[in-house]
Amino acid sequence: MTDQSEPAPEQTNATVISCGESIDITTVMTWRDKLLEILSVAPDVVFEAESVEKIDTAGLQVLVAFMKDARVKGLSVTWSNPSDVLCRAAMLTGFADVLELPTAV
Amino acid sequence: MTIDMEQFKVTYIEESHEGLEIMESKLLELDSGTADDEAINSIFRAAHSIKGGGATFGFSNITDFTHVVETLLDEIRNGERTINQESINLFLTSVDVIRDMLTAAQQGEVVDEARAAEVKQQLEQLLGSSPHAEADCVDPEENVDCSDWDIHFVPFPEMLTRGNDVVRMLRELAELGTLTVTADVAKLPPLQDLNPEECHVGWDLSLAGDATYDQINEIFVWVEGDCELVITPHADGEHSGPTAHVTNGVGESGDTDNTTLVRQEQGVKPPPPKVAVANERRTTGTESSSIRVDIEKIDALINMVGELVITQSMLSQLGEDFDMSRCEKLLTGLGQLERNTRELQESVMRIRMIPISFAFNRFPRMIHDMCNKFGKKTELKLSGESTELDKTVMEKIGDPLVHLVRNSMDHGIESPEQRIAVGKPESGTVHLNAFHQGGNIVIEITDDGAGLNKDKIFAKAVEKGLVEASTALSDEKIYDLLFQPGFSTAEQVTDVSGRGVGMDVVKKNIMALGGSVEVATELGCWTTFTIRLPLTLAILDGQLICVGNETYIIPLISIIESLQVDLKSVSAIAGKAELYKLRDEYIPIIRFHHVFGVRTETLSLEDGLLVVVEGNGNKAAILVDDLLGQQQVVIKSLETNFKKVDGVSGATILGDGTVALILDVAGLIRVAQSGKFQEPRNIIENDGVAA
Repeated sequence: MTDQSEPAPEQTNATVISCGESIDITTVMTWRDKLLEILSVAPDVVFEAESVEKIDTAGLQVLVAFMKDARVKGLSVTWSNPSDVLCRAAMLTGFADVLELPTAV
Repeated sequence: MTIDMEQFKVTYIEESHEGLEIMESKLLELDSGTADDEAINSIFRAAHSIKGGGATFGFSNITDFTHVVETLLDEIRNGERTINQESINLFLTSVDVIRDMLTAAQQGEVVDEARAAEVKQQLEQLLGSSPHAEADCVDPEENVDCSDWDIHFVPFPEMLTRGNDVVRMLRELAELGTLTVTADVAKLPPLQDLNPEECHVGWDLSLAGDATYDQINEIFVWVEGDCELVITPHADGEHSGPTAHVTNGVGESGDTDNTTLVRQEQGVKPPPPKVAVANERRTTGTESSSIRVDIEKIDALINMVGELVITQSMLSQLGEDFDMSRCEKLLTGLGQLERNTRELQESVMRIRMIPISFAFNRFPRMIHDMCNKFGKKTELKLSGESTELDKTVMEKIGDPLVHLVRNSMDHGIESPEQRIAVGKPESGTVHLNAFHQGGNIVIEITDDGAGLNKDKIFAKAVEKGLVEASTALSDEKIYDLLFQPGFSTAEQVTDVSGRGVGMDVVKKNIMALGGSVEVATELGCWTTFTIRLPLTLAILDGQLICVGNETYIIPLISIIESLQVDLKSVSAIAGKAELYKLRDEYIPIIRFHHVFGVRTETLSLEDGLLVVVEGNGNKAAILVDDLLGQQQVVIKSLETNFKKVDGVSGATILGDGTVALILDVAGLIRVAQSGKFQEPRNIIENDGVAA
């Protein structure tokens, strides 16, 4: 996971988060800290998720928690090319809507 | 944090071996006609877990094979099929095949695929299915209970940390039909308060299609105890279309509240069957690498450590402000420390102790197989199974026990016809009994068979040239001939016993453990082999001896007696050998200082003491300067810390901090006989030996 300070092409003042290949229980602690940091700064967020090849329940859960908090704070969260693996996992677990991910793969 | 799946794999293999033991023992209960429905259920559950774990860890051969076994068992437990002797034997053979597969997976070896395929084909024939049927496909007969299902699934927080993943489970569920998922994220805390490794989401699922309860339950079998799970038939079986929608709180506006429910239906078609990938990673050898310990033993250990810390703290305080007036307190404290240390040592040693049932459990199956093989009827009685023994001793006593039980079955127990002819019950009895006696564990193997014929044993020994025909031997000595290499009185050599290879090895192995084996018998009635073993190999009872400035330890179990030398009983023979006449025996004298090249002033026999010892059936009298005392010593490996030394089995650290060598009596006798001594160091020969 990396973030870029430059605004996303389509969205000014948005932080771009590159999700990397894996969002799972082995990395969720780091994800939580990073997402908390983003919440505190409160910019809009773009997740670059085209490379996600592995995501598990813990990974999805931390994203859902972030989305809930982001909505409360009124942040805009968007996905850039979410991978099939991510969309399918979100759909299987019933998180696709709350994560605002496509519901058909 | 990374999760090492290898450790779970090791646990799976260990638990599967335990599952196989359950299957085997329950099948044998069925065999004797004493089983109830619960026995079948236990067998089924064990097979089910082995299959499920096999799939999880990529052991596709185990999964495929066990699937057929499980299907047959399922039919039996549902009353669709009766169990008979033929199927019991086939299940027992299947247990062997699965065990081989697990062992192969554990040790990275190649499994005997031909045998596995042959047994699987037999199972499939029994099942009445095509031998080429896909093992992973759903058996149409399993769909009798087809229905739509509602599943309420709430993982406990720690479930994810145990290697479980809801995504994988829901993916498997989706393969069974059309899955509607409603996630309940109401209990998901704000990110700030979230421990992301814990699960705070629950699911309500609806599954439409042909799935059976068992198929659904199987997916959740690994999270049993880690979640709240309710599976109920769906009330009306209605399912809406595959459109995803959100309810209760999370709307398109993005607003949310504290009771968020997310509902989603799966319009996704089941993905194609997964291709099982052979696991190429080799598991490490684990046969003796782990031990299960009763929690009470751990608690006792923690208590001991607590006591030790208190004592240490008390002594520390005493040391800070010490004067001679507090000497008595210091001595009390040191006494307490000694008690704590001893208790701690005992607690630690208890951790290594496991019940001997681990060794006994193999015998019901063995007796069953041998009864089938020889047409004999035998009842196996086990007692004292909870008697505890050091794990290392347990592992090493297994094979000798197997040989003695096989021997009892082969040579002891008669055929039903022979037994009836001599007025005995048709069925014989082999009784394994274990109990503690002193510092030893005693294992008795008793059969009510034909007993030992001492005249026959003696005649055979004469024929084999082991003893002279004119030799007068006590009954005990005659029976001891059974343990001589190459001895067998079996009229017919079988693949079980009778080749004369084994009983000598049995005795050698038991002796190597610091134990002994004896035999008692009554012709025509019974035979009992009695094995005595030390409770542990880590500590031994030793006799401290002094030679020169050095202290050595002789295992007490090797010592017959100690005596002052009567020079009239000493005679020298050709070479430099000396013999000591002890009652009716001539025992070679070993001058210890000669063998180990120790400088000492005690050179003449009358100045020292003789310790009469026995090792590997050979006796010797060791000349030592003095006997110091007896104590338990903790054995340290000399090989690991230094190098192997002939005549020495290990070393220990004495109370004063010096290292003392522990003698290997059999090795010492061998060294003495070979004449290959250490270089003598300033030894003055001044013997008053009567020639």
